[in-house]
Amino acid sequence: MYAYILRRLFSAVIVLFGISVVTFLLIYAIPADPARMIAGPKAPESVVLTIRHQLGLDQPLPLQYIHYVWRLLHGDLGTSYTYNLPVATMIVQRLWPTAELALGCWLAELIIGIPLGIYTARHARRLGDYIVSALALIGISLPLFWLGLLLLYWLAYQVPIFPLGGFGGLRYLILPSLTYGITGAAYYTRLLKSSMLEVMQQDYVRTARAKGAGESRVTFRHVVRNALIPVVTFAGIDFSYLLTGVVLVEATFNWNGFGSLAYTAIQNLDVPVIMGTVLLVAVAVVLFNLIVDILYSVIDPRIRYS
Amino acid sequence: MAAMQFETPPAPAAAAPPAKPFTKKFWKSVRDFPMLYLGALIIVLLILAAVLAPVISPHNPTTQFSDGLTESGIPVGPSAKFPLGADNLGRDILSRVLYGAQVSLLVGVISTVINLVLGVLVGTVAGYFGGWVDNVLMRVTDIILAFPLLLFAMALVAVLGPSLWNVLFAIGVLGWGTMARVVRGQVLAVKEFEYVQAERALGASNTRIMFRVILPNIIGPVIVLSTLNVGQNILVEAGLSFLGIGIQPPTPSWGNMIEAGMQTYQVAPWTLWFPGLALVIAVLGFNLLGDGLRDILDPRNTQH
Repeated sequence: MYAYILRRLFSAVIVLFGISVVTFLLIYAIPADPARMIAGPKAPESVVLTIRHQLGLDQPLPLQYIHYVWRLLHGDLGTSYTYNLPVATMIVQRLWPTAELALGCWLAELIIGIPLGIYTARHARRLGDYIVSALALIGISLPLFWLGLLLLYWLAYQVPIFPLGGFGGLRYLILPSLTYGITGAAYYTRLLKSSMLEVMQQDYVRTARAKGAGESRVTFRHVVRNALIPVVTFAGIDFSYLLTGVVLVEATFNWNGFGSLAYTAIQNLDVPVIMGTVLLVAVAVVLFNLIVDILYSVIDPRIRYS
Repeated sequence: MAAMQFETPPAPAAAAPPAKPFTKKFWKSVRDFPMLYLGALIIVLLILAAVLAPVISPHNPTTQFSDGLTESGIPVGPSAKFPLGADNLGRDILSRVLYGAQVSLLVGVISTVINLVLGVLVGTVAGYFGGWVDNVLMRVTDIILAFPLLLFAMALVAVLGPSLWNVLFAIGVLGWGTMARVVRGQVLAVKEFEYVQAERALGASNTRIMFRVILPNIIGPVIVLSTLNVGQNILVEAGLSFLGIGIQPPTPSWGNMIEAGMQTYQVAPWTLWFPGLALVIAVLGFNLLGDGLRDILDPRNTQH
């Protein structure tokens, strides 16, 4: 098992290294001249030269990269062009609202998706299944931001139940979570359904029936519990969708998290802030998947040998 | 009916019967795979809308009509002149929705083609050669997949500058990870089959085996994934345009129309409804077609 974990850790380190190279190239190598972007189009050439020297942009690229990684390892994500504040500080301030929103969105997905998955599996190839499956397909096709605005129009403007966006307590959390839940739940519904249909054909389910277990006991004790395994794996993949979705949800609902930070940074073409958030998200995705994989190898020994 | 039969020359016996069974067969397959045909129909309509936009649009999509706004500056609702209403600058929404189909299709399809070429190339080479080649290519794929597509495209477009071609390029160059993984898995499964071994024994080159022998045999999942991919990429483009970093106004894209609608939806909800509806229908079309193709191409589904 330790061999597996070590191997997995090693490949995670390689991927993290690759991520740092990609973000480095995006910040320092592709833009025509970052120093000019910081100084502004009208600044005299001498100012641009000074900034270029300050940032070390006059050094060879590999050396710049080493400095970049060195700074990253010390938690320095650079300085915002617009606000002249450390990017790391700006992001840390926004982490909690985003974590809260992401958790709300994820719970909404599960609360909507899991029961519908169980329902469609138990009613497979009947009217209810077809209706839910059609709704699931529409849910997958819905643009988050549009659905969010529609819900705002109906449930916050026309019938003022919820606030018109903003960040605050539970009342503020419900509409954004619901928006994400509706578009994301379909993945869980479909996955759980197909996984349950597969499990229902297993011998141990037949055995449970033969023992005289009732239909709901068979469903919940035997089928759902085993069928949830691929669903939990998907939660790992979903983490990356969730972090993307959160950017759109935050822009729609004016939620004060790091998605909004990225959104504002885009408006100002504040490259260090954009790259900081992107880097952070990518690292979070890698670490999250690493943890999920390791937990799995502990729970399910079959995975280690594949 | 009878007169017609006399006038037309008697058709050859072999050719006449298939005419009717074909339509019968067609309707039977429509009944068997309603999703597939509904998806195809939506996509055909979408293509027609995009191609015919200059002909069927009632107005120029960027003309700002003074009678498109009320005296207090609120967009006018659906009317004879503006069938779907006007937007915040007094432009005709129907014309903009029709032209928006051009942008969505262009970005969705071309970025998917780029995804397809890169993903198939990486996946096939990785799966076929295995060993360190596989290791290197799959770590690169892991890196690409670690960045959520929308965020990654956002960053790249921010650096390159927002334009139609940069959006298309960014989505195309960054979105091939899933395709590569799926193709690799398929290649791994197929490359040990006898017919592949036979080609190798006959002295076929690696390139020939990969792209002439293996690829045709895994084309099913590739087509399904590509179809679903078009819908996903259309959503990413709309997301980028909604965030203000995709297609720039005044060029109409459904995403930037929704962004504009965000300012007026409380007083003029149609500025929000129609571009969003067009977007949902388009994405739904590709999802229906993709799911439908999967049902047809997946052998597990044809058995029952």
